[in-house]
Amino acid sequence: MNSLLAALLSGSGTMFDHNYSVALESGLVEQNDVDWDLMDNWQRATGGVRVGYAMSPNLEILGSIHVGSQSSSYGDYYYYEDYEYTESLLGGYATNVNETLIHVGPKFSWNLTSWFAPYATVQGLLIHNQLQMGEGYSVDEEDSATLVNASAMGVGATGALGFEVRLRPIAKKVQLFTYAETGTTGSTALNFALKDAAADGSDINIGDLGYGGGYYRIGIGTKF
Amino acid sequence: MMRHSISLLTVLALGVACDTYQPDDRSGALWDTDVASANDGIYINLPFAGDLIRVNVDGIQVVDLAGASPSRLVESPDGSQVLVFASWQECKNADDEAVFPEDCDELVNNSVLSIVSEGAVTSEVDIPSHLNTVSFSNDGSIAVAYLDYDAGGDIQVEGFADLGEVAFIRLEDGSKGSASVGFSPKKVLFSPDNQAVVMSRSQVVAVDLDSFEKTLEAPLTLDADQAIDPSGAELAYDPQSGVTNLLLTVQGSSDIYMLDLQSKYWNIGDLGAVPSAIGVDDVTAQSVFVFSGTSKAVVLDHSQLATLNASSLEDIDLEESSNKALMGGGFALLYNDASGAVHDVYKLDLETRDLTEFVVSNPVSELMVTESGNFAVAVVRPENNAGSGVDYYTDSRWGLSIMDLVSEDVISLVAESQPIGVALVEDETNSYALALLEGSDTLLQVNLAMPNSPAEVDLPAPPVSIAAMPDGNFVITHNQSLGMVSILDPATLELQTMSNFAVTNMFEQKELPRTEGNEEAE
Repeated sequence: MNSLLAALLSGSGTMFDHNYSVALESGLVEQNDVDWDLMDNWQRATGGVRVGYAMSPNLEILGSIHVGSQSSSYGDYYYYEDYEYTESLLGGYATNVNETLIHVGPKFSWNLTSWFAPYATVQGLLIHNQLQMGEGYSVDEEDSATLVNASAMGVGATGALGFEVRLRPIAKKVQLFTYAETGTTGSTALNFALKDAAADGSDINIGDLGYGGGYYRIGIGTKF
Repeated sequence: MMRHSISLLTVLALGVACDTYQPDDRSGALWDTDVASANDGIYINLPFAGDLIRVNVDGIQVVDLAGASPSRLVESPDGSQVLVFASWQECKNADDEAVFPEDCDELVNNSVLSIVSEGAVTSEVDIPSHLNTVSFSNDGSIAVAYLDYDAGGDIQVEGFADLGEVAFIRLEDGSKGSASVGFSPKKVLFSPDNQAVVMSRSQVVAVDLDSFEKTLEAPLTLDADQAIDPSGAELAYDPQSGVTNLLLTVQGSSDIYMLDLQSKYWNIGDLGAVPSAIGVDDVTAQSVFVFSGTSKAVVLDHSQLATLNASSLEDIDLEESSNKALMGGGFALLYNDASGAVHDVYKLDLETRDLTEFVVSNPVSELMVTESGNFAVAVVRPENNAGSGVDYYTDSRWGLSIMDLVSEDVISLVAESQPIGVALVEDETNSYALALLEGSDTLLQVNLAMPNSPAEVDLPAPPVSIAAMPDGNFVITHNQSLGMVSILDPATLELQTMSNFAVTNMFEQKELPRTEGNEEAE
C-alpha cells in the first residue's frame, strides 16, 4: 500500500507546468442564522466545479460555482405548547432554498514538494438564493394552492487555508490532484420579500437568511 | 508527513460530507385562523413572527404594535376598531444591553390591550394578562374585559393579581377604569341607563359606565360561608314602568332572583325546576326559562316583575325537555343540544302562546334563526343510537334541518361531512344558508325556501371557518399554512382570495422592544 502511494505521488522532481485546472468539489459555507432551521435541521453540503488559471507556479486565479438546496416539510398538525400537544387547524408547509454560490479569487501556493503544496486563498463571494414555500409536503406549483417564490442575493468574502496533494503527471500533459481547505466566510444577509404585496404597492418583508462562519471544501481535479 | 496529511484529509472529508446540525426550537402555526373582521380589512395574528397584519384587497400591512406580540383579536361591534390582546418582553437586568430575549436573564412580560383602527394603534392600555373575555356596551363605545375561568386558557399571574378585577376601556380615547367585583365574574350585562351589571360568586355589582364607579353591590346571600354561583343572567326591561330588572338564576336552584336596578329591591320566585337557560324578548317584554331536566318552559311577563307571585310565572308544557332558548322577534325557539335523543324544536309564540313542534332528523348541535324570523336552521349531529336502513344512514350523519317558521314545514338534508361553518343571510326576496363542509372545497348556498338544489361555489382551498363581516360580506379562512382568506359577497357569490400573508416577517428575529439601546439602534 505504501509503495503504491509512493509510486503515485512521486514525480519527476520538478513542478508540473500547467496553465489550467478544473476540479469537482463539495463543501459548505456555514449558515450562521437560526432562521435556516426552518429549512432543515441539518445543513446539506453544496457541490460544484472549480476552474483555475495559473499565473505562475505559485499563483493561480480560481473561480468556482456551487449549487445546493436546503429543504424540509414542516408539520403543523401538532405542536408543543405549554407542556401539551395542541392540534393545529392548519396542515403544515414545505420549504426549499436553492443555493448558488460563486467564488472568485487568487490562490497562493507554497510548493513544498512536487506532490504536496499548502496554500492560502482569498476569494470574493456572490450568493443567490431562491426561496420556495408550498403547502403540505410540496413546493410544486401544481400541487400547492399557495406558493411563495422569492429570490435574494448577497455578497461576501472567504479566506481559507488548504493543501493540495498531486499525483504523478500523466504523459507530462495532465496531473490529477486533490485538495482540502477550510477557513472563514463573511457575507451580507439575503433579504427576501413578497414583491408588491403591501397595501401601498411596496414589498412585504419575509426576512433574511445569512451565511457566515466556517468554510469547508474538498475536491478532486486535474491540471493541464 | 503523508500519514498526517491523509488523516487530516479524512477528517475534513467527513466534516464536509456529514452535514452540520442546526437545532430548531420553534414550532406552531404561522397564522391564527381566528381572524378579526373590521371595516377596513381583516386583521390576522401571526404567532410565529409575533406580528399583527391587516389584509384587504389592496394588500398586506404590518400593524406596528411597538414590539408587542398579539395573542388574541376581538373586533368592536361596529367594525371600526379591533382590540388586540398583546404582550411585550422587558429585560429587567440592570445595565443590560441585551438585544434579543435570549440575551436577557431576567425577562418580564408586560400585557397590553391595543386598540387598532385603520391599520394603526390609536391607544394602548395596560391590562392584567389574565383578563381573557371581552364584552361591549350597548353602543359599542366601552369594552369590558374580565377573567372568565370557564373560557379556558392559561392564567398568567406575575406578582399578585385580583382575579375579580374587571377593566373598563373607553374605545374612543383608550381611558381605562377598573373595579373589583368579587370572586369569579361570570357575565357582564349592560342596562339602558348606562350601567354594567357584573355577576360573580355570591354578589352582583353594577358599575356606572361614565365614571367607572360602583353604584351597587348586592349580595346573593347573607351567609358569608355560602357560595352561590350564578348560572344565567339577563336584563328584563318593563316598558310600562321603565324599570330594568336583573333576572338571575343560580346553580342547582329553582329560584329566580330579580333585582330592580332602580330601587335595588330584590325579589325571589320559584320556577319549580332548575333552569338551564333564560331568553329575553324585548318585542313582547317577556322572558322564557327552559329546563334540561323538565319538559316545560316558563314565561314571565315583565309587567309582572313588580308584583311577582306564583301566578306571574306561566308554565308551558313540552313533549321533550329543552335546555336552550333562541329568541326571535316575538317568539322563542326552544331546543335541546345536550341530549342525544331529543329531536324536537319548539316555536313558542309569545303573543298567543301557540306552540309549534318541529321534529328534526337528528339531535340539534346548533340552531340559528334568520333576521326576518321566517326560517330557522339547525345543524344536526349523528345520533348515539342509530337505527337501520335509511334511518341508519341519516342517523349516522351530520346534516341541516331547515324549518319554515311561517308554513311550519321542516326539511332535513344529509351532509357529506360535518358542517364547520354555517351562516344565514337574507336579501329582499330570499333567505339563504351559507354552509362549509369539512374537507370540501365547495361553499354551498342553500335557498331556505327551496333547499334541495343548493348553489355551489368553488373554493381555492378547504375552508376552516366562515364569519360575517361588518359590511355584510363574509370572510372565509382556509386550511393553508402560508395563509389564505377569502371574502365572499353573498349577493353575487364572488370570492376575493388573499394568500401567502403568513410568511410576513417569518425570518425576522424579534428584538427586545421598548428598550433604550434598541430604540437608538432603530
